[in-house]
Amino acid sequence: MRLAFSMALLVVVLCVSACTTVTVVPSLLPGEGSAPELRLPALYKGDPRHLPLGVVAVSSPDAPFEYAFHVAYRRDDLPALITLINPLTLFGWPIGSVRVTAVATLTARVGGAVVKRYEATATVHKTRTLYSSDSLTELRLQALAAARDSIEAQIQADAIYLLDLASAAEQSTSPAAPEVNP
Amino acid sequence: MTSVRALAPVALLLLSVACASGPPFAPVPTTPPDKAIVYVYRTAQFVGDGVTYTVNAGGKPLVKLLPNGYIALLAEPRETEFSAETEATSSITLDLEAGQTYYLKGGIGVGFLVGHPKLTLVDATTGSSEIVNCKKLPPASLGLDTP
Repeated sequence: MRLAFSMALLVVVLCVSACTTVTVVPSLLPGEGSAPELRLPALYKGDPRHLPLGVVAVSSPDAPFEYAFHVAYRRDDLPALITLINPLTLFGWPIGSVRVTAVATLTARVGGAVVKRYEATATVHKTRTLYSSDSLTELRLQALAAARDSIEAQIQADAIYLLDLASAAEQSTSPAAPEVNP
Repeated sequence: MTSVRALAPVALLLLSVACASGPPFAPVPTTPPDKAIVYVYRTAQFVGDGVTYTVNAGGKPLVKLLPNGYIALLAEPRETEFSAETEATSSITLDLEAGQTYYLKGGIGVGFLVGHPKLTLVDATTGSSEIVNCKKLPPASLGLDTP
């Protein structure tokens, strides 16, 4: 009985340790149905993998939209002495944790003034064990993907408004058509 | 007592092998406007100083990071991954911006057979105060801009 309890405890410890949790605010699901297809031109210089599907990267500072993100890292470690004297460390007991927070924003501007701002915050938390690697790069990708998907869901919900904004901006920046004499 | 005395030079030798011994820290005098500066450094710890590892920047070996050692890297302003490996891998990706300075601190955590490398981005106040006692390390490969 005692052995069974010990084994069950070990299994629970191993299942709980080294797990990864992702939280996103706001947590929105992609809308169902036929939303109009978005191709919002946004000033963005980073990796295109982090862009929402409805956003297209442009390099012009006059673009009506701007996509940006910021990533912060936090590491919490148990004191080494506690880790070393804890026998459960060998069985996968957590020895610390890492947290990666990504904040993504999509800003809409008309005539230089901000008219709408979408923001998403994604946090990925992972507990570490004696046997786990410490890839903050991987957690950063997960956080950025979650933030990107949240922004995508937000802009899909406002698709018609954003399409109007984009077309208005395009008309204001496109050169006037030459007059044709009859 | 005799055996302790006999072991003392060996211990001193091991300690000296594990510590950096280059020129003292000197900040990069001028920052090119189109580059980012990344200082990668490691302070001495009570435990784990015997473990050394190579830090890679963007897939290229940057420096064999010894305790109390540092290297400065002039990097392109883009997403760059820094990684290190012993029995486990540690990696962190920084979104480098032109004209900015970053401090990446290396450390050692508890491992099963060998200590695990730890790469942590620290703020400028912490980084600039901790790096002053470090010695400059040679780059681990050519082709990187390490002033």
